[in-house]
Amino acid sequence: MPALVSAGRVSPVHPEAELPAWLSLVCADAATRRSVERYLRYLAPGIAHLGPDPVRLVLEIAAPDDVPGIVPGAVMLPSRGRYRVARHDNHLVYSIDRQALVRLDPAAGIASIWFSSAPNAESDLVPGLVSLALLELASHRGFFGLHAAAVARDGLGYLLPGASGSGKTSLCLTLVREGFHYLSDDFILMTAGTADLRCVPFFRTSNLDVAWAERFPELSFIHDLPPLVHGKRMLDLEQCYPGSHAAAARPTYLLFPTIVAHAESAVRRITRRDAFCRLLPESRLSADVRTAKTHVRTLERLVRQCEAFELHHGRDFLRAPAETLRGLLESLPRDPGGR
Amino acid sequence: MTRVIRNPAVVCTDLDDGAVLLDLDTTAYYSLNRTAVGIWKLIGDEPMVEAIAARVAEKYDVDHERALASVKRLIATLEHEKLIRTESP
Repeated sequence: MPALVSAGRVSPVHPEAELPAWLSLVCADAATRRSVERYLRYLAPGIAHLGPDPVRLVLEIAAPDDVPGIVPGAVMLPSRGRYRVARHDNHLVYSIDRQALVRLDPAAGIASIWFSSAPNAESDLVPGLVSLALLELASHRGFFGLHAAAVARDGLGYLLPGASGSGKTSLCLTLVREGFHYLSDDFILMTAGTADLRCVPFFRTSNLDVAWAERFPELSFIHDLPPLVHGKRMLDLEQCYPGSHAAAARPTYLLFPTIVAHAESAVRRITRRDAFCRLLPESRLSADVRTAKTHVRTLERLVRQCEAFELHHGRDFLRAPAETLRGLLESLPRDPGGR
Repeated sequence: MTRVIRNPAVVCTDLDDGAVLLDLDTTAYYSLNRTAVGIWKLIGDEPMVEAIAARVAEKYDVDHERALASVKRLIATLEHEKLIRTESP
C-alpha cells in the first residue's frame, strides 16, 4: 500500500491548480466568479483535454423573467433530461424555463450561461450548467463522458460503470489501497485514438462516505473535512495515497458493479451486446445527432476492446474487501482482448 | 406494396451476439437478435416489404409466406417504436 501522509497536510481540493491560459472565464459577479473558478479547478483533469483551442465561459445572472428562453425559429432537438434543447444558427441551446439557459458555439468553443438569481434556485445549479457546457464542448472535441470509476495496474485498465449507489467508490478505494492506480471513482472521459481507446479522469477528487473512516484508519481525518450533500467528504486520494494517480489508461475490463445480499461475491461474463446496453444509461449523449453518433461509435469501440463482466459484491466484500476483490480479479481471463 | 423507411436518428450497433438500436431522439434502445439484425440491414438495402421477405426466405431457407409473416411482425414492432415508418401507395 502507498505510504500515507499526515492528516494535517490533506486538503480537499486543488487550491494550487492553475486554469489553462486558453480557458477564459467572464463573470461580472465576483462571488459567482470565485465559486466557478473553484469548480473549474475541481474539473482541471478533464478540462486539460479540451485545449489548446480556446474555450470561453461567459456567465450572467438574471432575474427569472430575464433568463432568456429558446428563441422562435430555433430548431427543436430531443430533450435531454430536464433540459429543452434547440439548434439556432451555429448554436446548441439547453434551456430550463425561467431558471437557466446554456448557449454553446462548439466550433468557437464559447459557452454562454444565464442563470436565475431567484433565492430559491438550486445550490448546485451553476456547477451543473458549467459541467453540461464543458461536457458538450468536450464531446465536440472527441472526449465523451461516462459515469464510471476507473483504475489501472500493470498496463490493464478496469472500468466500473454504474449509477450512484452501485458501489463504485467502495471498489475503487479498495483497489487503490491494493496498489492500483486511480483515475476516478465516478466519471471519466473516453477518447478514441487511431490505435486504441483510452480514458482520462474528468475530475480527480472522490466523495467518500465517512463510514470508510471506520474501516480504513488512514481516512479517519475525513470527519474533519466540510460535509457535502448526503454528508460525504471530498478528498483527492493522491494526497492520501501518494503516487496512486494515473492521468490515462487503456480500458481492458468492463466490470458492472451491483451490491447483492448474497454471502459470496462473484463475477459473471456478459456479452458485448449486454455490455453496450448497460453503458448507454451511463453515457451523456449530445443532443447534436452527429456528435451523438460519434459517441455511440466510441462506446462500440470500448466494448470491442474490453472483456465485460457483472461484478456482484456481497457480504464477503464488506467483511474482507481486499481479499474478496483480489480473488475476483484473479478469476478474470489473463488474455484480455484475445478473443 | 409497402415501403419501409428507417428513422435517420436511429443508430444500429452490430455486435457479435446481436445488435442494439438506439433512437437518438428519445435515447431509448432496443436489443435485436441476429435474425432481427439481418432484417434491419435488409431494410437499408431494400425498402419494399415483399422484397425483404423474399431475401429472408432465401437467406434462411424458409417458405415465402412464413418469411413475410416474420418480416411484417418485426416491421410492426419497429414502427410502433418509431424506429421506422412505412408508406403504402
